Amino acid sequence: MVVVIRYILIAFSGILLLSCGNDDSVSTSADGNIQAWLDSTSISASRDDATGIYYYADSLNPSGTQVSSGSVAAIYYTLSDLNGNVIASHQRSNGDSLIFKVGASAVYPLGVDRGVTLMRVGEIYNFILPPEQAYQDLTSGAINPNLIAHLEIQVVGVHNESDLFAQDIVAIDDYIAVNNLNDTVTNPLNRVEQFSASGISYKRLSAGSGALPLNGDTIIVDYSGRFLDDSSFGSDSGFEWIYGSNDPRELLTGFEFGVSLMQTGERALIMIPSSQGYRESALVVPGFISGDLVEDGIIPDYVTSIPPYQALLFEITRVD
Amino acid sequence: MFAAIKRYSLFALFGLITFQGLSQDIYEKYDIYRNPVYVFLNKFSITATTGIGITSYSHQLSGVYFYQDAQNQFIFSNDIENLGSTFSGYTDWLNDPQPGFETSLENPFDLPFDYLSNPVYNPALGDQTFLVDTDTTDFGFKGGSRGIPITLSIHYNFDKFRVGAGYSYEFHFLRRLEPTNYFGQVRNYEPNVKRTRYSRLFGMVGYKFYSFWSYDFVAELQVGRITAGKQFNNGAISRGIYTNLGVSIENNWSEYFRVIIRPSVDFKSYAINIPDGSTVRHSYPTFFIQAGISINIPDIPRSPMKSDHVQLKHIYRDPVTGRTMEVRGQPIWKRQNPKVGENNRRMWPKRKKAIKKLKTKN
Repeated sequence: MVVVIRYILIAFSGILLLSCGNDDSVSTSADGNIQAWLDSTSISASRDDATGIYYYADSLNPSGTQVSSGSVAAIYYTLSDLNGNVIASHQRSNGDSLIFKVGASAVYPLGVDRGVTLMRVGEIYNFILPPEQAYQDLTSGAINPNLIAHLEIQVVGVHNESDLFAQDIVAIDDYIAVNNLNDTVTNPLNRVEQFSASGISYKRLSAGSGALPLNGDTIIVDYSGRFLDDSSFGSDSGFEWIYGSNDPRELLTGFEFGVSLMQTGERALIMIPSSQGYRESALVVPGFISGDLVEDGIIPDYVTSIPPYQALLFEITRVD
Repeated sequence: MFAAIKRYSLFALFGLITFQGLSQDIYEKYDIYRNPVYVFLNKFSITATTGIGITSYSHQLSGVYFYQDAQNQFIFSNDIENLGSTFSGYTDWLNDPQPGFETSLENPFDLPFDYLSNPVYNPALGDQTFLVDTDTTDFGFKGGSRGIPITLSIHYNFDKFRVGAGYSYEFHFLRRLEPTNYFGQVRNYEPNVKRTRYSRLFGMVGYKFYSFWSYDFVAELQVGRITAGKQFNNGAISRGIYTNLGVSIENNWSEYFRVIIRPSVDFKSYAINIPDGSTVRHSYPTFFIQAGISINIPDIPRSPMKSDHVQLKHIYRDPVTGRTMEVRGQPIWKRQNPKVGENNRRMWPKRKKAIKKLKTKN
């Protein structure tokens, strides 16, 4: 009996100790683990006191452009745990660099947003991210809760956002030219209507009839979306909303603007530069966790379909 | 049937008379007068209590879709065969179902809705739309509310049993209900009213199962009908009877006056009918802790002698009429264990002094 009571007391004490745990203790223990790892590897790293991120440079480029808030950084990365197990990587051999707008909460994990502002173009830094700057309690693939992430980042470029917007308009012009959209023999009906203020282009593919949409009208459309390389990013049929109602939210500026030009039964191609589309969207590192982040309400759903700074093509048929 | 009832009624009446007769023996023998009306009324106890009630509301949604957007939460029957992209559901299914505005089922953070600045961890993402067929998952809401009951009851005492009736009025303060599932995605249910009232009309039975010194412990069962205030649409609500189980802990200050503490639990539920044919069943048991007083109308009058402060019942002979009558020397609330006839509390300091004196001598 005494033994049983003793075990009950031990178990109770254990529960009490566990219940005392909180984020601070996790953070403290993560910081201790990072320091222990640095000691064991004899790596000399600096600590960003505001975030608890440790960093050290593999390659410096003092003459490179400093990454600053509001600019768009282009990076390659390798993500691993402290044991050196690589979880994900995106290098030059895998394709173009990944871009994100700095200082706009447009990259996950947010520790990256802070980290790259310490870098210049051409530099390679290693960041040791404590869980609260990395993936917190996320479980996804090889990412386990409270992972201390070792992220090696190479900054290969910095862009002005306005330049990227301008490039989209040029790219749309190229698309129109390559696909002969202004050739009314190949593509009958009107030539492409271009709206210089927004950069949106509109090509009627088949005629409709009746009035243009008015506020309060119930509009129903079928649409398919694709990028300028004609790869698809989504479609829907019977998409219905109250025109101009902003319920449950505003529609994408370019999308509703395009529909405002359409009669019932009309089919049109609307070309939207990223400035009128999803702009910086968000970059998720690594990309395979996007679905879980959507499910957890950390990023909007459209991020899984639309990378940063992508011009969009919507082929829309108004069916209401 | 009627004859049987009549026969049993006669038996009961005979028993009562016999019982009264036996108890009257000593009074008849010594010709002690007692008013028979007061003797009968003395068998009744009148009780008034108040306290606090903690009500636990919970409901399990089934047979409906639950839908939430940034502003609203709706339910609507899942008998709809083709769920379109817009619909009109019902809000306020706790108390008064109201048709909601026509609402889009589209996800406002997916294509082709507008982009979101500062998208990662944007607080607006907490307003994600959420749709679930409640037949495919365990889902509902629960939460606690508070109330202040005021209860009046009367009961007839015989041996250790009691039987009676009463009325209770409760000032009730509703609070938000929390989802039982999908905690990160579904917001709390906010009742559209903050307060209401509950009225209870009940019958009761009880049994005194334990006595200790001046304390009695009585198990009580109340069964009755409960109605809510106008904040609840009683036309849409089906309520059954409610039951209340409690223990009345009674400190007998005298044989006419008791101070009571009564913990108890209400068991009750109701079903609310949604105009589209679906139904939501709510359970809302309440734990009460109430305190109050209970009195019996004295069967004997106060002694006509102002100087007579004798605590126990005693005999008084009227010097004018010569009639012998039983009287009491104290008001009904004076503390007096009816079993032993305690001394008046004013005497306690003297008693302590006397005990101290005795101890010193020894």
